[in-house]
Order: sequence, then structure tokens, then C-alpha cells
Amino acid sequence: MRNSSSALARHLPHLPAVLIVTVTMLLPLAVLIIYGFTSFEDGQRTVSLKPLARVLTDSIYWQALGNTVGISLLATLVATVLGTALGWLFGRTDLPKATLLEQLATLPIFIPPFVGAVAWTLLAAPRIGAFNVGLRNLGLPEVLDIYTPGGMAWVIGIYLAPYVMMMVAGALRSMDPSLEEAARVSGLDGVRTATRITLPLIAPAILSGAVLAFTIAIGLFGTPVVLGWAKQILLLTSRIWIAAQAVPPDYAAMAILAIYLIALSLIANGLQRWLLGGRSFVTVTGKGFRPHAIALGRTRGPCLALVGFYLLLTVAAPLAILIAACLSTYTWSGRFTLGNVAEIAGSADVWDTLKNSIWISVVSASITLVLGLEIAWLANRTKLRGRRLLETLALVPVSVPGIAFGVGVMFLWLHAPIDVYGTAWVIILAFVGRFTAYAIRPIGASLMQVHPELEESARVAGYGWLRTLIHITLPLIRPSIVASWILLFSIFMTELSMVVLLYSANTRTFSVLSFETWSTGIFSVLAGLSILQLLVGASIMLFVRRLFGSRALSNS
Amino acid sequence: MTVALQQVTKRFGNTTVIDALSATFRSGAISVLLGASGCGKTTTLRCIAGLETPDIGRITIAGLDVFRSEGGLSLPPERREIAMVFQSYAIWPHMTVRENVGLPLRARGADAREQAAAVDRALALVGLADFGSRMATQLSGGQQQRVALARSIVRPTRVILLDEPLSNLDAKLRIAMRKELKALQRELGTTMIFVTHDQDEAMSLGDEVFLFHEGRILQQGEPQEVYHRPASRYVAEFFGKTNFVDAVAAPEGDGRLALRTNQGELAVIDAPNGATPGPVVCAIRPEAWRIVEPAGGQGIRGRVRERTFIGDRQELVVETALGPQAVITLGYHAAKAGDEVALVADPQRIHLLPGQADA
Ligand SMILES: Nc1ncnc2c1ncn2[C@@H]1O[C@H](COP(=O)(O)OP(=O)(O)OP(=O)(O)O)[C@@H](O)[C@H]1O
Ligand SMILES: [Mg+2]
Repeated sequence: MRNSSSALARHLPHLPAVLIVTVTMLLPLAVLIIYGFTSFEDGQRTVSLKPLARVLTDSIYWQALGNTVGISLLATLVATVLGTALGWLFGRTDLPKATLLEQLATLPIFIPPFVGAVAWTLLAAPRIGAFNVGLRNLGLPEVLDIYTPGGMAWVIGIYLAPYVMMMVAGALRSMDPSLEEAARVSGLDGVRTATRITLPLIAPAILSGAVLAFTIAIGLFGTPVVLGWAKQILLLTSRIWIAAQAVPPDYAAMAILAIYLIALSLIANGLQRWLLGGRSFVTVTGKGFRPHAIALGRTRGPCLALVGFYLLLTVAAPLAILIAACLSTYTWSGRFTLGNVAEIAGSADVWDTLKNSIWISVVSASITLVLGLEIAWLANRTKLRGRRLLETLALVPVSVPGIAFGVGVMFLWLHAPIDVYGTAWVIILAFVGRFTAYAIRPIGASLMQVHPELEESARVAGYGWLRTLIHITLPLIRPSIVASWILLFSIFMTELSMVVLLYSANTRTFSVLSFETWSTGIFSVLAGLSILQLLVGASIMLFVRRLFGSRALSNS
Repeated sequence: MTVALQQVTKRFGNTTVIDALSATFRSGAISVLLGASGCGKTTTLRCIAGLETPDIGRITIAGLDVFRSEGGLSLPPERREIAMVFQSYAIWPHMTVRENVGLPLRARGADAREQAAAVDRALALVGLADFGSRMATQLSGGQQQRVALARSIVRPTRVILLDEPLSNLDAKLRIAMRKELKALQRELGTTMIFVTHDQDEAMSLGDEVFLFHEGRILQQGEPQEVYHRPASRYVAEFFGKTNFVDAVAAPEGDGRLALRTNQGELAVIDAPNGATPGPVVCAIRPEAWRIVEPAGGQGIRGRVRERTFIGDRQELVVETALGPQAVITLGYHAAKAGDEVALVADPQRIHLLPGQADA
């Protein structure tokens, strides 16, 4: 290292990252807090507890808080029970076709919550739900009602189960199998080994999965609005949207409700940290073969049925019902038509919004990825001062529920001197700010697995740092880069909770169009749009995977 | 207590990892399973423990069947009354040291007072009396190894299985633990089956050594026996460097054999049982060669080609007409590359193998 290089030059790689993190992540959150704890009177903004007092004294907001907490907890319970069972089946037993089934069972993550909610409306809404229609035709009472807190929790929960499942299966796979074997040899039978050894060892993973499910649940917007609107079961997210629709918009209430959501998320994460006390029992040993799968024996059939039932409820039935609805003249008329398809194909609005969605998603995913790569690289591969702080700050927004973050972004640019609000850039900035963590985490993790000596030997061999990065590091971590981009893209394609606050007449996205169609109540067209959304998302994902993801270099 | 395997075969897919293996591991002794990596030692141990199920064969512990392919008997591990020390130690990270060590007792519903006493005793035996309340993860590798050991002796079992329990320790600690383990076994009188691929460990620890190769046992016996009387070239070479010299055995009268090479007589030895005149291969350990003055006309002539000084000893390579010979002499012996020497083999320490040297 030469000492002559100036401080500025040494910190140059930092600067773009620091700047973007500040503008897209820290400022929105700061402005959000400012709006929550100030009020604007006589042309002046002063520190004030008025907004908070107003929200605290209004019973509708207490109700929204109660609904959010109650429904999210129930949904978390559903997701945790289902996810743990699935994770154990895939990670630890000799379930047949486990690899394929496990991949299928991650699909619900890629079904946008809004689409899932629409499908479940068609399946289990009172009167029009297909299940209820079936029951009615059989002369049975129509028992299912998805427009209830329980129904909402159910739909939210089954779509969040894969997050728990992946964590549980991962923990089981990286557990040293001899921990279980030692228990057997010591005299515990299979069941007691599971409850006394395995379960406590994967408890941290289950807890992390549950907390993740809860933080996602409280921030959901599409599902609670679609399912809760009929009976006015309103959650914090629905209230934020209602406040945004008011004329003039009720910024103070939006800010406080957003802060509520952030507080809930902080509490959940704090609780997790407190319960775990920094413990993680995952014990990776380099040695040995896959732990012996537990033989399911006679329970194999029922276990397969459980997985099949799960896939039916989350993927197969919703897809089938959307297709059926899209091809019906109107919902369950029994008469079929291609009219809806033709209407969608012929609508300029559909193609315009789709175009918006695609280019906004591609640009956002790419920016997010580069930023995430830079931050992960700085944090793991340089000795620059403040690199860990930068990473920590960049990970903050991910625990801020989307709509709350959207409120911050909206406030920041609403009165900004440059024209960002009303353009697509405000949406892109919101996406980048909120989701960079989704790139930092997997890329950071795979960077950690690439031994620095691989890079150091390239440096010794004569490559500069940039050529080392391009020729050694990036190829080695390519699988995680491709996977991150695909995940980001598919999230952005369907994101509704931030977009619904930030779009303008020129920047309506496809998810906004679907949402508007829902509010008009034309379900056949809505079903068609949902299918189109799934198709476009899936084909771009496949395309990217084929293009970049064919050669997996890491052993992941 | 005696552990016996009869015609045990274990396959993974198409590869046969244990091949019709029969062996009896003596009660109250340390039996060491030794062999190169991948030869099936761990698999054998796991079959005894019930962690793997053999395809065919029969396994008995203390005379009781724990596995018999005929009739489909296979006791689960928890009912075999055994203990096992894993290579990774398998210390449960969510439990304290005491809880770890006490689990075999809790699993069988021992009462609390008995349990506490047994755990104390086991911890004292391995020198961890003061560590009971620590979380298992707050221990060094060597201490974790002791916890695993304490867990295996906390209650009397029929046999303790140990899979390379010392391989993760540093060299000094490994040798110290070897001695402790042997002392512990002598004190408790337990049957132990110990897997290792380190021949020094096998020699110093084993009452009986079983040399594995590709899922079979090539030779078994006391360490000295296996070292000095290897049954084949592979066994001889596995236990360290060995010179192989072709010779013709000729009867000398009164039960003695003269070993003649094309460079003259090597030695006259007491004919071992079953030895017949004719071509033989002499296995000669490097330390069985003695260097003498070539002027005496005695021994095989040669020239020192390489010399590696170790300290207490030195290793020489002596070029002879019989091929290069590895020779170990004491460290103070003056020898340098290029010296003309003659080699004489200690007749007691020449071991005859059947067949040709290059077979
Ligand atoms: N679960 C398994 N599935 C497939 N093959 C296996 C499995 N376990 C072991 N093997 C194979 O069986 C052979 C013997 O393995 P084993 O672990 O018994 O060897 P080992 O003698 O203990 O070797 P090491 O000294 O390396 O521990 C190896 O070739 C290994 O690849
Ligand atoms: Mg082994």
C-alpha cells in the first residue's frame, strides 16, 4: 500500500454507495419521523405531538392496530406450523420426489399476495366462492367465508409458509447428523430424539422464520384490502391507503400509522433477538454424507397428501380458478367465452401498464443489484472504515414494512425541489431503498464462502483489483447474483403496497391496473390480468435463468 | 463384552463397502480398526451401533443378536446398550455439559440423585469436574472431546464405539489423550472398539488390531504380531517403510534355513512354522539393518545415496545390487552420502512372505 494515495481516493469506492444509501434509505425514514412528530401551522413546521395524539385518541386506529396484530399473529401461526412441517418433511425424511416437491412448494412465494387474494375470493368468498357454490349445489350450508379475520389470516399464512419452510429445511440440512445419532445411541428413541434434540436445535430457525412471516404479514396491503374490504375489516396498511386517498391527504395519520408498523416490526425483531440471545445452533461439519433420511414408513402416504394438499391450496386451485373465471362470461355463469382474453389483449391500458412495470422492474432490479453488490463487497472484501456501518444501515429498510417505507419516500419527494415525485423515478428510488438488503444478504453470504485466497492468488498472479473482481470474484458468486436479480425482479413486477402511494397517471403499473380492476368488481377481467401477470413474471424469470444461470459454479 | 460380526455385507447403491466381514472383538479389550481412508471402518462401526443397516449378516453383542438379516431382526440404536464417541464429538449445543453427559441416564429414567452422582463421577474421570455448568459450546476442542468421552462412560454399557475420537486434536494432546483413554479403559474394564487411520495410534492403544482394506479384514492380531509378522506386502507397507528382498531358502539342518541372495548369503534363520525351501521374499524393516565395515567381507555391499538426519535417528538410503534399501540407524552414527558400507540383517527380524518381491 502506498501512503501517498489521498484520503479521498481511498474512500472513493465508498461514495456512490454512501450517497445512494443516504438518499434512498435514510432520508425517507428521517422525513417520515419528522412528519410524525411535527405539525404544519401558519406556514411553519414545529415539533408537536398533535398527530400522535390524534391517532391515539381515534378508536378506528386502535381497531386497525388490533386487526393488524391479531390477523398477523394468526397468519404467522399458520405459516409456522405449515412451514415447519413442510421443512421437516423435505429436509429430514425420505419423502419421495422431495426435490421436485420442495421446488414446487416455494412457488407460493412467487404468487403475488394480491393475486392469491383474488384467487381465494373466487374460491371461498360468500356466495360467489367456488367452494360455496359447490356446497350450495350439494344442498349443504355455505360454510366458508374468506371475508373474515380467520379467512384473511389463512390466506396470508399459507402464502408465507415457504419462508419458514426454507429456513427450517436449511437448518435441518446443515445440522450435524451425529447430534441425532448420538442421542439414539444414548438411548432416546426416534420420537424423543426429535422433540429433545432436533426441535430445540432448529428452534432458532423456526423463530426466525416466524418473525420474518410476521413482519411480512403486517406490511401486506393487497391481501387485507381485497379480503377485508367487504366487511370493512381494516388494517393499518388499509388505513394508510385510506388516509392517502383523503382530500387533502391526511399526512399526519399516514406518518403515525407507518411509525406504528415500524414499531411492530422492531418489537418482533427485538423479541427474536432477546429470545435467541445471539445463539444459533446450526453446526456445520465438513465431513460425511447427507444425514440419513428418516423413514416415513406407513405415514408416507398421509405426508405426501399433506404436501399435495398444500400445493393444491396455494398453487393449483388458485391457478385453476383464475383460468376458469377468466374464461367465463361473468363469474360462474357457466357459460364460457374468450371475450375477456380479447378485451385484455385489445386494451392499450393493459400493454402500457405492463410496459411500465417491466421497465421499472428491470431498471430497479439492476440498480438494486449493483448497489447490493457494492455494499456486500465493501463490507466483506475491503478494510475501509465504516464499511460494516454502511452495510448495517442498508439492511434497515428491509424490516420497515413496504407501505410505511413508501410513505417516507412519498414525503421526501413530495416537496423536493427536483421533479421526482410523479415520475417513475420515485418508484424506482423506493424499490432500491427498500429492497437492497435482498441483494446484500445472498451476495454477502456467497462472498463469505469464496475464500479470499482465491482472490489474493489472482492479485499475486498480476491482476489488479478490478480484473480480479471481474474475472475471479463475480464468476464465482454468479449463482447468487442471478438468483437475487430474479427475486428482485419478481418482487418489483408485483409490488403494490408502495406503488399504490407513489404512482401517477403516467406511471401506473400493472399491479395498479389490477387493483383498479378489483375495485370495479369485474372479476373475469381481473382474473385474466392476474394470469397475465404470472405469465410475464414466469417467462422473464425463465429467460434470465437460461441466459445467465446455466452454469452454477458454487456448490450451492 | 464380546462383539461379533458374521458375514456382514453392506452396500451403498452398487458399491460394496463391507464385504462378507466376520470378526470377533474381545470382551474387556481395546480392538482397533485400522485402515486407509474409505475402507469401511466407520461403516462397520455404524453397523454395530445400529446407525446403518447391513444388507446381510449377523451381529451379536454379548452373545445377543442385535442384527440378523435372516428373520429381519434389527434393534434400533437405543436398544443396543452401547455408547459411542463420534469424530465430531456430537456435543449437543443447546445443553450444558452436565445435561450432555447425563442424557444416557435420563433417557433410561434413572433417578435424579443417582444421575447426579454418576455424572459427577464421569466428569471427574475425564478431568472436567469443574465444568459441569458450562454450556457445551463454551469448551475447547479437547474439552468437548472429554465431554463426549464422559457421556460414553456415564453408565455401564456393553461396548463403547469410538470413531477417530482423537483426530481433531493437536499432536501433543492426541498422544496425552491416548494414554488417558487406555488408562480409563483399564480402570473400567469396558470393551472398546476404536477406529483410526493412524498406525501409531493403533499400535499404542490396541490390544488387538484389525487391518481393513476395501471392506475386508486383511490381518488381525496383537500390534507387535501384525508389525513384525505381516501377512502380506500391503500389511507390511501399511505399518511403515519395509524393504523387500528376493532370496532362496535352503535347509541348513537342525530346523534352520539359509537365505541366499544373488549377492551372497543374507542370514541363517530359525525356520518359521510352515516355511519350505524355495524362493521367498524377505520383509526387512529399516531398523533391522545394521551397517558394518565393508572391509570385513560380511553382508551386502552398497553405497549411501541419501541421508536424512532426524535427531535421535537418521534415515539412509543405501544403493545395493538388491535395489535401494531404507536403513534407520542411531543419530550419532557417522555416515554420509557416498560412503561405502555393508548391510547385515538381524536374523531374528527377517520375516518371510510367500511369492515374489515384485508380485
Ligand atoms: N451414506 C453413504 N452413501 C454412499 N456411500 C457411502 C456412505 N457412507 C459411506 N460411503 C462410502 O463407503 C466407503 C467407506 O466409508 P467409511 O466412512 O466407512 O470409510 P472409513 O474407513 O471410515 O474412512 P475414513 O478413514 O475416511 O473415515 C467410502 O467409499 C464411502 O464413500
Ligand atoms: Mg471414518
